Amino acid sequence: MLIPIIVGDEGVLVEVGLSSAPGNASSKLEDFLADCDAVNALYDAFAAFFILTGAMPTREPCLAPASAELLSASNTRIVGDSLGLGVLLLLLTNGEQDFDKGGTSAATGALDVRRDKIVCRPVDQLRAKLDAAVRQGVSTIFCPKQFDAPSHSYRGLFVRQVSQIKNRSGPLAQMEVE
Amino acid sequence: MKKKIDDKQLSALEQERNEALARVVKRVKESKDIQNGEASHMAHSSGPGGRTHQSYVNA
Repeated sequence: MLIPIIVGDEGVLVEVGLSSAPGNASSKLEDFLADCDAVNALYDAFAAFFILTGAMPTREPCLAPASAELLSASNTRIVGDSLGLGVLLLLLTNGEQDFDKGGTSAATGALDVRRDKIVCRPVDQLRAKLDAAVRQGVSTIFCPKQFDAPSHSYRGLFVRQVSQIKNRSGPLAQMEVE
Repeated sequence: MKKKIDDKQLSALEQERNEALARVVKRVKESKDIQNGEASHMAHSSGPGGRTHQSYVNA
């Protein structure tokens, strides 16, 4: 799954997948996180997954080799909290055949995980960040797989994916958009 | 119907979060230390007297 994230003052698309078993990933997502906000975003996604499904994730997010190489080559690390929802969606959609489409983009946003519900930041806030980066002259919105990734079509995906989450029958399957 | 959340698993997850936070803080600190070390090394190896900028100016 391609996840749009903010890296420093750039907007980038990184391809994130899941390892076959926790601890076996060669390019663990955690190893590419630069600050505590990003780590908290990752673990908010794990906590949200647990609250929504009642189970712990059995697989660990990792970067696709192409994305890992790109980030390593530029010594780039992911900062901030804009990857939480993308990781959550990745975990939730794991194993769904009808969702496993190459080049699919996921909207990302901050998660506010509570015991009775999970609140996520609207995707427009991420888009505002990306637009601000573009206004500052940032032109590097790259995509390892396709150059014309639908960077402005996140909202439709966001609504559809949140709808999928809401329709799940987990122990506390509630998710709200701020 | 809502089920009770397993507090033990949630606590374990929080423990993992804290460990991950500590790992990232340690990695960032080590990275900064290495960068500082490289800068210091460059200063000492770039020319007579270890004054990098002076060497370049004279050259």
